[in-house]
Parts: sequence; C-alpha cells; structure tokens
Amino acid sequence: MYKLDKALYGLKQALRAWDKKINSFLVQQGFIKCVNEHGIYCRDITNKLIVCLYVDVMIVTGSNEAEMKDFKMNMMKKFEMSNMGNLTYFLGIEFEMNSQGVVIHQRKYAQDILKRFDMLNCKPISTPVDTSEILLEK
Amino acid sequence: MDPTLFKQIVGSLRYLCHTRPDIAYGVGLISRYMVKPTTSHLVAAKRIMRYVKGTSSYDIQYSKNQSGELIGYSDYDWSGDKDDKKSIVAYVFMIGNAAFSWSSKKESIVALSSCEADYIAASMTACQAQWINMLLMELKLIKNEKMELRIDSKSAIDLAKHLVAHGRSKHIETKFHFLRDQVNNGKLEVKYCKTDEQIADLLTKPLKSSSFLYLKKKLGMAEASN
Repeated sequence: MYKLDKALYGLKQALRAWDKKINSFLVQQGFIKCVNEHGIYCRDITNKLIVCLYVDVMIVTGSNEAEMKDFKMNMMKKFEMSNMGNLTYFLGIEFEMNSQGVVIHQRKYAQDILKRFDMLNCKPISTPVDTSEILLEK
Repeated sequence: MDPTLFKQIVGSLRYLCHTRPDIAYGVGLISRYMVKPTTSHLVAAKRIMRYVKGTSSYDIQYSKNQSGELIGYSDYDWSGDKDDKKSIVAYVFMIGNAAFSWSSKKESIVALSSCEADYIAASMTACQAQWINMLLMELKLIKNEKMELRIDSKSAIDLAKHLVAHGRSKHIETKFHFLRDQVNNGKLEVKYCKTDEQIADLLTKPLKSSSFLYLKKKLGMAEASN
C-alpha cells in the first residue's frame, strides 16, 4: 500500500484538489470569486477582467486587451494549456464573433441529433407545437 | 412505441433549449410524459425535430451597439396542463433586442384564477431578476438599478403594488409575495404590456404560425445572413 502525495486524475478527490489549486492561483492573481455564481472570478483594479471557470475550461473576457494577454501569459507559465483564441465552441454551443457583436447557436448539435434519430430528411414545419391537438397523459 | 427512443429525443432536445427559447415550451410539454409515453407523445416530439430541421439556421445575435437595458417579461397559461390543471409559467429576460435568460415550466400549485397564476409567474421571475441583478452588480456592470418587469395582467400588477388581501387572494402562499416585497423595495418595477407584445407568451402555450413568428423575431432570433 502506498500513500499518495498528490491527488490523481480520475480519483474523486481530484476535482476538489483541482478547484483548490485554480482558486488559489486566481486569488493570488488578484481575482475575487463571485458570491452569486461560483464559477465566475472577477478582477477590477485598473481594467475589468472576468474569468468563467468550468472545471478546467476557462472563458476570459475583459475591457483591456493587453491585460487579457498578460493574464494568459501568467496562466501559461503556471499551467499547460491548449486551444487558446477566440471563443468558438463550448459544451456544444457555437459562438461567432462578427462586426456587430456575438452570435450563439447550436447548429452542429442540432444536425447531430437529427442524424442520431434518423430525421435528417424529414419534412420541415414552421411551428414546434400543434395548436389543434391537446396532449394528455393517455 | 419505444419509450427509450422517446426519452432520448426529449433529452437531446432539452439540451438544444440552451440557445433556442422558441422550442422551450414544446420540449417542456413533451417532458411531462416521460413516465408513460404513447404514440401521440412521440408524434409531438418528432414534430419538434421537424421544426428544428426547418429552422437550424436561426441564431441569436447579441449586439454591442444596442442599449444594454434589461427587461424581464413573464407570462402564464392558466391551467395549461390539461391533466392536472396546473398553470404553465414562463419568463424571458432581454438585453436590448436579444433574449439571454429564459424558462418555461409548470407551476408547483394549482392557481385559482388567472390573476393568481400571473402573480405566481411574476414572483418566479422576480427571483431570477434578483439573481441577475446581484450578479451584474457584483461584476460592477450595472449600478443599483430598478429592473423592469412586464406582465399582461393588470390585476396581478395591482396585487403586487398594494398591500391588500382580498377574499380571492388571501390564500396565496407567502413565498409568492416575494414579488410584492421586491416591488415595495424598489428593486422591481412591474409594468403592463399588451398580450400581443408579451414575448414570454411564446414560452407558455402553442401559438399559431403568424404570432409565433412575430414573437420569435422579438426574442432576437433571426436566420443567419450567410
């Protein structure tokens, strides 16, 4: 039998250990954990920087580009990270940046479920619910 | 009829509701029959899939140039569930011209009147409004602002503004008076809005094509231009 020095990936303690680690890092960077939504961290010293944390995925937004870059550098020094850039895909939700702002949709997911239930070639209809038929339990 | 297939469709569609307020009511409707689905329920589920097939190019655009004003809409369909006569309640929060937070669900209790159903709906909406307000204030994105809540029942507005207990409202559970409290605290302002301008209507009942398309546009849903 061995005593573990560190939490291992896949163990039930791993999640808590990870959260502790990322939390202390963000706090040390000057962030404050949001009371109303625990996945959000905010830093508002000179410029506003908001971090949305979902397990080990981070979405970062802020009012100053240089500061966002700086934060990214700090993160890279501390953690091994990949796939950084503009937000395009998150948990099945797609994001597109355009000149007006941001667009969200789940086009890929919608195609996937149509395919899964073999309905890619079904006849489209303009409303989701029939107004003439009342659904009942039986 | 394969109950597993039905449940899989419902589950898959439920996830799609994250960016599609237009199917939130429909998915909520079929979700009520998860226990003993029949063929007619499966047909209803497939109809939503057919709708998704025809509208997969729709999305929501959040524009940086529009006003950042937050407005909540709440609506109800009195005894909308024909099995247990409970009402369906829904809310939508709009930022500028785009919906960013919405819900469509069945009320936990039977409402005795449409006014009561609307009052309960608005009280649920007030909870979400309070949370949004607190979060945005914590992020210093807004100052202490009064949020506007639009409902289409004048009697429910009266009930929210004035501390009176009529014979017909004295039985309303205490928790729903959260709405009145929020209004008296100056955190919420309830305003009347005409039924045909009530965006949350789309999330409470089946609508005919013309009004459905009109309200869908109001939600900020549009076909992608490219």
